Amino acid sequence: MPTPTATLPPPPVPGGEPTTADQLYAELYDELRRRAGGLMAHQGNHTLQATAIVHEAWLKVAGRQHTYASRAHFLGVAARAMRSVLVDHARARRTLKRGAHARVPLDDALDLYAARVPDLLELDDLLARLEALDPALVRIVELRFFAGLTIEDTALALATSTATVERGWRAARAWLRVALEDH
Amino acid sequence: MTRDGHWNRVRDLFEAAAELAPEARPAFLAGLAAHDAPLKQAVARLLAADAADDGFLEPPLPADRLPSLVGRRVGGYRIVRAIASGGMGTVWEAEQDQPRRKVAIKTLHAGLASPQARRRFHFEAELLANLRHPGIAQVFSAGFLEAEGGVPSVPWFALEFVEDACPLTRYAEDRNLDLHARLRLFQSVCRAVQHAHQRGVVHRDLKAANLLVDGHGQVKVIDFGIARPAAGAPGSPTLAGEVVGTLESMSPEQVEGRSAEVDARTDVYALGVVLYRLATGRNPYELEGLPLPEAARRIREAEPARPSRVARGVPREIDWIVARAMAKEPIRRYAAASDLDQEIQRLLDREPVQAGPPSRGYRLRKFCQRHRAGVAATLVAVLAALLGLAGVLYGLVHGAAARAAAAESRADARLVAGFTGFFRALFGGLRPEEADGRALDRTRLLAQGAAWVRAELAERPLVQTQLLRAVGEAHAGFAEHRHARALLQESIDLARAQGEAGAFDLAEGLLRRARVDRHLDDADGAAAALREALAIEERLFGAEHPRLGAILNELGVLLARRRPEEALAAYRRSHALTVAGQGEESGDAAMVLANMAAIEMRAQRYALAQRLLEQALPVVMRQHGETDPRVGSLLNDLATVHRQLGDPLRALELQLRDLEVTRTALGAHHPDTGMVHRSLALIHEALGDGAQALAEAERALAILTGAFADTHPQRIDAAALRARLLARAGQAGPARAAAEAVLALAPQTLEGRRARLAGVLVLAELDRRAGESDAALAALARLLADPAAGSDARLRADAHFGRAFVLAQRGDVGSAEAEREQALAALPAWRDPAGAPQVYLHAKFATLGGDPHGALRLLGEALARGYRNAALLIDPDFAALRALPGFAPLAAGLLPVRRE
Repeated sequence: MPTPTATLPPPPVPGGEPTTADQLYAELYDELRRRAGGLMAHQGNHTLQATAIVHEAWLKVAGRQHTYASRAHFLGVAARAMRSVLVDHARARRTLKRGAHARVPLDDALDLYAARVPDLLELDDLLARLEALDPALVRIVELRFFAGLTIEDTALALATSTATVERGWRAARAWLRVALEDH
Repeated sequence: MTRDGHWNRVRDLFEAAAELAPEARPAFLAGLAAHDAPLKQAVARLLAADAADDGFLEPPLPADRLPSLVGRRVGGYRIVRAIASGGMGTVWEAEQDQPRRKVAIKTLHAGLASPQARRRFHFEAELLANLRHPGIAQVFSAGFLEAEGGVPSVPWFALEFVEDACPLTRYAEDRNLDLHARLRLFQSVCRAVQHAHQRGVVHRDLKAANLLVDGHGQVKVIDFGIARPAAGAPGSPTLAGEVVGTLESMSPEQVEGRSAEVDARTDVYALGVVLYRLATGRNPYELEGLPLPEAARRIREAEPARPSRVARGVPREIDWIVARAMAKEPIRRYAAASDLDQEIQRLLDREPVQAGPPSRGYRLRKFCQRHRAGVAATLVAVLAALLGLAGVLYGLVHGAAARAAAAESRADARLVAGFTGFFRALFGGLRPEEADGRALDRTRLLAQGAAWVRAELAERPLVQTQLLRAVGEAHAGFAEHRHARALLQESIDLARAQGEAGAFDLAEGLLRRARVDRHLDDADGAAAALREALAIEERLFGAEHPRLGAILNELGVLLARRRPEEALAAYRRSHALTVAGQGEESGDAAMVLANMAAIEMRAQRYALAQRLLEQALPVVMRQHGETDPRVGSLLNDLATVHRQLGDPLRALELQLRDLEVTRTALGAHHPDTGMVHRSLALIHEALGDGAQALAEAERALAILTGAFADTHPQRIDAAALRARLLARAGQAGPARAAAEAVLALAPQTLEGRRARLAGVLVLAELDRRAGESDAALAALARLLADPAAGSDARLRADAHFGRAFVLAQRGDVGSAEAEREQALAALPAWRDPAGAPQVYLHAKFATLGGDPHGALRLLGEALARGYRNAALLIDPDFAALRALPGFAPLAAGLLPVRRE
């Protein structure tokens, strides 16, 4: 096995103002939506795809010479964008009448997540509640669950220690499970 | 749980409890302040939720969680120890009991949840197990590790354990191998990869770490295809660091995430990287420490330093081979690992390699792709510079006498030629299939150029005329003939409006338009333009001026098929003028002779054609070199002539020389090489070797199929030849299928009709032999009724002979004779007893008509005249003839013997 020579480095900020998170978010949202659909369409199901999608979005959006503050910034926004893509799609699917709905590739992506959480929309509601309570935990959930990052990468993205992420992740999972039971 | 303060306390207590061993937790909870029951309950619920182990929210990548498998049984294997771990998975050493051997187990970090994903994994595993090659670490089996104790269900592979494995590049470096030995190692890798490609498996991750050499010096490629079941998108690495380990070997299509384009040529790219590393000891790109987008950009855009510049003793051929293997566009790479292997073999054998130095045009094009926005600006700048100068010259020529103006405007023309040259360099040689994405840019660029010329140069109509012509020519260079025609016509109209001052440019414009008209199948338009240009130039330069020779030659080419006699007249005049201008040793004049020979050959006047070709060939060889493709084409014609004149051995000798020249000049897969194989098929037929003839025809068809659309006349022609040879070989079923495919695909053109005739003749022959003579006659009659057949004497003669055979075989001698007369009336040259085709046809006619003795007599006479053609030895229609006692000595004579 090769020793990785580097992890994802921060993208260059050649003198430019960092793009606002909103701009980056909007762009990533589109990109992820497209990619999630495209990948699922010809690759079948695979649980690694969340990371693949985020990775490719990274190459694409970073390749457009956008300037943004840091890798952490990017990953955070990407994870949030991923969450929105999936939740929006789940919501759209729910509002459609049964039978009138033709299956689209993004459905497959959704199913991957659905296997790990009973209801994505409910999870989204609960994350909104947790946001008020403990926003740092929501960031961890977004990075771990939606962007599929490892503990190490989540720690890198949040500029904190793996131990902190580990503890936060356990707490967030436990809280969400309890909250789901009460919901 | 709603108050922040409350939650913070709950969380702290939960985290503290979670740190404890599960059995210590109840005591911890009990010790909590008794008065705060809700707090205690909240913590207890969180702990209970935390203990549930059902994968809730668990990310799909448990890489950081996978516990040791040492001691566990996986499949039939017992895990002994972990060997290595990476982003994608972990490799373990394991032991198998039956048979007792050491294996490597690779577990992937990814869980595979859905049934489809599992089915897919099993399918992939089966593909991998089918790879059996000494250069590939064998996959023995694969399966799933069942979920257990927090470990999700993960896939595993059992692989051949490579003893004393050493990565390929380190092996070469540690042993200080010389380039020769390194190239040999590299060839072993290519062969292993080719084996997998042939079984539909692409590696996708052929990095140095996946290429091992075992203790016996045997190359072992590992992790074949595992990248696919393991990664979500092929070639797309995980986010976690892994990407940088393999980035060095990633192709542009992989870093751009164009996963649909990943195929065998992606592996060819990675092999190019390995070759680079082996030859130079360095990676082609230094990506270490670069931000990922920058690294990706380099892979997409940068050209690596040439290996011969990086390391001493590396030949230039390695530069070319690496450049071809690592081309940015997959279509430019070697199509297969075996091609790369053969290329190295050529290098080792000191033969010329197929890859060549990148052309100037190619490099310029690369430049333009990288700086597309800048190109338009550059063009405008160059245009302006040229026009600045042109303007000065224009001032000088303006108002001068017509003849002088024409001469002066040629000075302008030189400038414009510079401009045209720039255009060509910029876009030259771009093939249409590669141009799709750039077509818009280019069209817009040229349209902008033309608009600029119209707007800015209205007061300099002569320069305007020339530049519009140049833009038109640029369009023609991209086969955009309609755009080209419109611009050339604009230029012509402008020149015409200027009267005598525009006369020279009018002629130039007409000449260009004639070429475009030909591409647009407007032969009449082209001929009219050429004639007008000729008249203008005769007036400007005099009827004896050598430059008229080139125009007359073009006119000849244009008229060759439709009006051969007029074409010959134009060629004769062209030849005389060219020789007067350039001397007897003129290569141009020699090519005019070759053009004349082509007409004589079509008219079956082979002896004349032979004289012309033998006059032209030595001149062309002296002027253009012995390996010029033009030499190949003349050798081909000369071989055809000798075959038709009944000297197939001499034909074979010439054709083999042609094969060597053409293959060297144009490559083994060039359509011209395919046409040489087609000619070889005909020669082998004349030598009575049906199997060899069929093999050559199939070779020709394979090459032409690779080079052309299915309906291309040359491809169809080769397909028709194959059908005929199959019929001769008695393979009626395949022959019929092949002939019907020809009929289905042959286009409605002159060549298409010829091919259709060939197909109909094959079917008629098969029908005739099957006793279906009415069907055969009807098919040939339909062909003759086609009004287009009227102007094609050869086609009519062949069809009438086909009918004559049918009628002769069913005993209708009178009608058969009538058909034969019609054939000879159509093509009087066939009455000449000296040529080969008619001997064959008449002998066949006699044999089928029940007069094999007459056929024998005919052949005996031909033999006495020097006729040598053994094709009838493999033609079933001559069965009756071959049964005659007098045939054996005749056959011995027909089989050509090498003359001393």
